[in-house]
Amino acid sequence: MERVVITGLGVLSALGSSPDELFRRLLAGETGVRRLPALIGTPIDVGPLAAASLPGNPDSDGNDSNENGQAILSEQPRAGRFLSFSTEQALRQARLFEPSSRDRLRVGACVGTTLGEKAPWLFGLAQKAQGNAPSQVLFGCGLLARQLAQHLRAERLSAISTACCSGNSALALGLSWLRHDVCDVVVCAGVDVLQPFVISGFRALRAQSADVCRPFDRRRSGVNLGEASACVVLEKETVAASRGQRVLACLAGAGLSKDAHHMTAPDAQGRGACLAMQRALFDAELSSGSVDFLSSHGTGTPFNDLMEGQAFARLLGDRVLDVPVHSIKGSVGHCLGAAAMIEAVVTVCILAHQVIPPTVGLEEVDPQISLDLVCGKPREARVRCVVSTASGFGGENAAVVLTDTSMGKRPS
Amino acid sequence: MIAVRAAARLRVNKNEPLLPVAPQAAQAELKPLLLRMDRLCGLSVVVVEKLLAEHSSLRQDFSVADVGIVVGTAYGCHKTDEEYYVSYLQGQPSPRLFAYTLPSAPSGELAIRHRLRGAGFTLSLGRTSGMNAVAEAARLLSSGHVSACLVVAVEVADPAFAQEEVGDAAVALWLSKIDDQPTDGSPQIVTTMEVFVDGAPAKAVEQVLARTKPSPGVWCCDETTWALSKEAWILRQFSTVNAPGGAASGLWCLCEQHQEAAESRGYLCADSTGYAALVVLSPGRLQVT
Repeated sequence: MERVVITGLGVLSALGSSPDELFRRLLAGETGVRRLPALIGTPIDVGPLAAASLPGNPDSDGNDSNENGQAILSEQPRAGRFLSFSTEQALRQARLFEPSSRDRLRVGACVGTTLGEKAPWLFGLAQKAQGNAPSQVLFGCGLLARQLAQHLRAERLSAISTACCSGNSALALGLSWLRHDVCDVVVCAGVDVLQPFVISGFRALRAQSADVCRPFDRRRSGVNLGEASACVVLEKETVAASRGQRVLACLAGAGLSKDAHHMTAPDAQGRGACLAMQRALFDAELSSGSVDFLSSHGTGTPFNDLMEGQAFARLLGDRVLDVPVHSIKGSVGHCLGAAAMIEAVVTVCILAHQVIPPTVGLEEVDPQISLDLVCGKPREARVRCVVSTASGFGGENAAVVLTDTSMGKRPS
Repeated sequence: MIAVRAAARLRVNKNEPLLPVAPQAAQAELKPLLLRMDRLCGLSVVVVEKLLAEHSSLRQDFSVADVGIVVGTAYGCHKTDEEYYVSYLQGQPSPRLFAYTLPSAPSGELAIRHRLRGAGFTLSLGRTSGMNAVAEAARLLSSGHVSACLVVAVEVADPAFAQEEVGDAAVALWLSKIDDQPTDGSPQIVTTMEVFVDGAPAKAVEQVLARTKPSPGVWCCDETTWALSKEAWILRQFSTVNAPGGAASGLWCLCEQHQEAAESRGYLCADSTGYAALVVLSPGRLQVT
């Protein structure tokens, strides 16, 4: 089976509008989480958020920044613009931005999201209630995938949803398309933007932290919601080689599973998450002994982080304290459908630079969690093989194995 | 080989209670579940209950850890989104409803109900999503990620601003990987094909047909697909089915037409944006509940 390689990365997040900027600020221990003045005046206390801004690309309603939260309260479509921004970056790095560069390639577009482009539809509903319904409102997860496919002139597309692990699921689908030879290149993206709709829901579930979140910390109390778009260009190794394209890393395997336990709470034993990671390693033809680093979901909720501690212990056994773990949720917030895709982007940066950013917000590790957590400052480490895992509502779990180019499957 | 071992389908009127249409033996267990979950999940759970009630032996052959779930839905949780949005506008956002404001919620409820821990995901792309789900499930099976897979296409009626009429409907298929010809006469998936041609459904259909080898003996589709792709269907033998709309349409058509198929048949679904998806089944007897 031919190797699948990563040749382009793109990101727009609260902590940067390029992979380099994001990684530099993660290493510096910065956070993009803050309270937004405009939202403090809304009917519900939304807590601190990690809001992102489109650089040099003002919203059509005049709000070019989320500094005061106005963009989040807007009914204008934002997810599509976020998606365009990160995919353009990734395509430029992969030297696939110009349409002519894709002429002879079978291109696929795969978008992972939980909400899709929801704001215009919600606005339409409000108008409908007032007897002033718009004639047509395009909405949903599929709209974003179509937008990307139109831009790419892709012949294959998908909008995939597995709640907060949708980003990893999009990578898994892209990997499958390439292995089954239905595409030569797959542009995988994860995107979700902040909206009162979703902020109020997490608030209703009492899942939001009143302060900057503290993944794996004894005092953790919930998530900070964030927004982002991230993009990873996948292609067959032979296609990248024929184009003379530099390979950034390999997507060696992917694994999906379900907890079959509860709609909003994870399996406390971490069996489902562990199963997804084991499946990803099996898919990559690697063992848990190969893992050098774990990129956690690490949302900062009491249940998730405890579950992940159990899952990592199940996966690694005696090695659990030998493998470093981090979470970036304290830096970029929990970006839902984009979360795992950002983590994939950061993981590729870690493989390139051999340094692991710290877990912002973590000060005192929960004594119930026995992991080698990277906190306080960045850690230099030899990292060749990474498992990046994510979980979501409905008991969804998705993990991917990313390696440097010295590992992974070779063409048979 | 990937066999379509059994199928079930369900079509109910808008707001019609789901419990009475569930298998009688399961009604006591389902009653509290259907009260808790939203209608999208309810339709999914009931159609799978129908499937397993008639074909309980299927699941005994497999470890539940190895059974996948792939769900396709065009409009997903729009109804629950609306209800939740109203609760938010009224200042009392409902945590119960919020848990169902994800198109992937049916997959979670099905996994919980049947303790399924295999790989799976939800595709929410448009009216081809049911056919796309079959194609992705076939890839999961052929690559060995799962040994059996539940495919569900589901829609809830009346999405605001929908581009077609959509009814409450769900279709469930049970797919499994087999080494030999199935002894029960189940049809096999011969091939799947998906093509996107921006804004040109007829061209997408033409390309799907051109790329499909071997070509099936009979082509079938729902009426919306037929209307979108007439140009491409000139001179071809075809059969259309009055389907419930949305992602359930393609698989509804498949269930209707493949219960006694003496020849291979290609089931096609297209949408107005230019995405076309095809599933070709070998001759066989699809057991439809």
